[in-house]
Amino acid sequence: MIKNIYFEEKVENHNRAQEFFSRFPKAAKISCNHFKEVFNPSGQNFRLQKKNPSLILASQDGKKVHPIPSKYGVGGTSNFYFSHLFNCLYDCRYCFLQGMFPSAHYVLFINYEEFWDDIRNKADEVSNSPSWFFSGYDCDSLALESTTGFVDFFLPKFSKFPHAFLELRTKSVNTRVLKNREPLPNVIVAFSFTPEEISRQLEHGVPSVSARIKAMHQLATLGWYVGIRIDPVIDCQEFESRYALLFHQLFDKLPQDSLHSVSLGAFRMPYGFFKKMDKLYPEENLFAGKLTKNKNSVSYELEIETKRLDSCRSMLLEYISSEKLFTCEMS
Amino acid sequence: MNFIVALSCEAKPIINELRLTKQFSPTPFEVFRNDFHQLVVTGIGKVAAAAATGFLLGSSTRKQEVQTYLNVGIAGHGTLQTNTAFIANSISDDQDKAIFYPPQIIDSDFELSRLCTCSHPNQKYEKGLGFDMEAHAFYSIASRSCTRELIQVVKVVSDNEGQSFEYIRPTTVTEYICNHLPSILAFAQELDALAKEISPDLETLGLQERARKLHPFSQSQIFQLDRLINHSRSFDLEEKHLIELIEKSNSPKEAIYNLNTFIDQSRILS
Repeated sequence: MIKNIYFEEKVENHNRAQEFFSRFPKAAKISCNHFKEVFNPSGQNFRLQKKNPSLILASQDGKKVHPIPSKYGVGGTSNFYFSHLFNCLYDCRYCFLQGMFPSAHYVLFINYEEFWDDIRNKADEVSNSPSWFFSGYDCDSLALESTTGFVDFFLPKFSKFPHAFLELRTKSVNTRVLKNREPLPNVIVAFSFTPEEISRQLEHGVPSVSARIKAMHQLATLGWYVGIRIDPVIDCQEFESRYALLFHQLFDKLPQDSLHSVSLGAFRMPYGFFKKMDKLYPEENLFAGKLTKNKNSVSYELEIETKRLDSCRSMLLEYISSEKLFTCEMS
Repeated sequence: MNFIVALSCEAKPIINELRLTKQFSPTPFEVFRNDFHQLVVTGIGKVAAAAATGFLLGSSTRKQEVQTYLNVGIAGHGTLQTNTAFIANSISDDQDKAIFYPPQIIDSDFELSRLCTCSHPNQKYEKGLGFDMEAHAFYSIASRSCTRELIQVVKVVSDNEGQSFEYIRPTTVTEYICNHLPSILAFAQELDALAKEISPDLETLGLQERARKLHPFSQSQIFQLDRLINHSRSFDLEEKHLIELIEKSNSPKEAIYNLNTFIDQSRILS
């Protein structure tokens, strides 16, 4: 239940803002000049705010579509991300958002039409090859769909733009918005997973692994392309057997032709983010693991990282062809 | 909890309920304490509130724990009825552009309202806005040393369009605060519970303190030692073993090495 809605004065009369105000009539409405006045001040505690985040309605000015790091794609050559929302419904302990953002409030940029203009322009610029647009970098693409209506707005747009691909990355089982539509060949619904035991320890508030697998299978059966994201790979006891079981559960009943891609990524974090996260959760086992600082980032010791990624890769290749497997690396 | 209150008549119900005792050491402000709470009577106005908040920040006796700060008092309001309590969810100032937005984590029954801190008593009651003379200065100082979620402002409406502030009597002020005292103290208690959640673990601090005394560690070694002990606590390693290991080591360097080697075996998620 949202108790406070902050809004930039310039969006007060926007129809999407008005919808929010009428959907949450009891919420206190507080105006501000710019969302950063509420979101950016130093001396906020992400951990405490995560207990009860407020909603900030804002307009994203300036550049809305950004290139992704060079080794993060899933097959496309022109790859971009955009963030209509800052922060996530879930509370995964490995998530970089808690190290990157000063606040856990949700910032929703409601000028969707302008996001779409930028996406379309970007896709037109590189019309000789398909462009990829990733929506789940700074949020979960589906978890807050019933509040944001983001997918509901963007899918019809992408349906008329077949050489622009959209990845919706999620841990949500809130897939109604997709089930109610005809599948689109240029939209990939990518689900992130860690083994159940790890998920229970680190992915707070996230639907169970089995519920996510079920949701993914349902979408695949309906004809949607799905992606599987094993990112971050987390070192743990009984690593091999846990990941082997996860992969078995993931691929057991999944129609092969509905699988778009699988990506693997090691746990890695800019050092500044890691320091902040470690300070927020000094008791967290994950941060006391065999991690090392290399230049400006923190990751597992190289030997562990290589061993775990190699192990996952060979297990995955028992189920899928190498063309569908991508590894996300730090550039 | 640190209470910052402008007037004695506002402070009285809190002092009585929490059985705070007056501190007789020479201080520039009237301060009342018990084992868990402090209250300072600041006097009216921004400068007084800022000075008293700064004084309280510096005189805290529980330095290892994360502190909480609550400004309690009366305010005028453009919409709310008198004797209505509200939490300030934005705090502006009539002479300063900075606006504070205290993050609201606790679900309470209080109303939520914007608040403007004025240099002089205000008689123009703008709709939806509260008016006081201290909150902005209080927040500006307290937020320099404490996380913003734990700094809050609770006001009880004493005057509005229909009832001018000129007719407010000290007894009425005390009565207004008294009426909302259970909610105010429950709110303070919840803030303290949040603070406890992010305060350093006292047992870990104690263990670090003991370990430091076992060898003449350098500053950078102390940093490493503290970190290793923190990690050992994450994995629930036995305190007795850690201390023995440090004691048996022949030098600070060896102690760090031995501790690191010992903890390394556990550094994996279960």
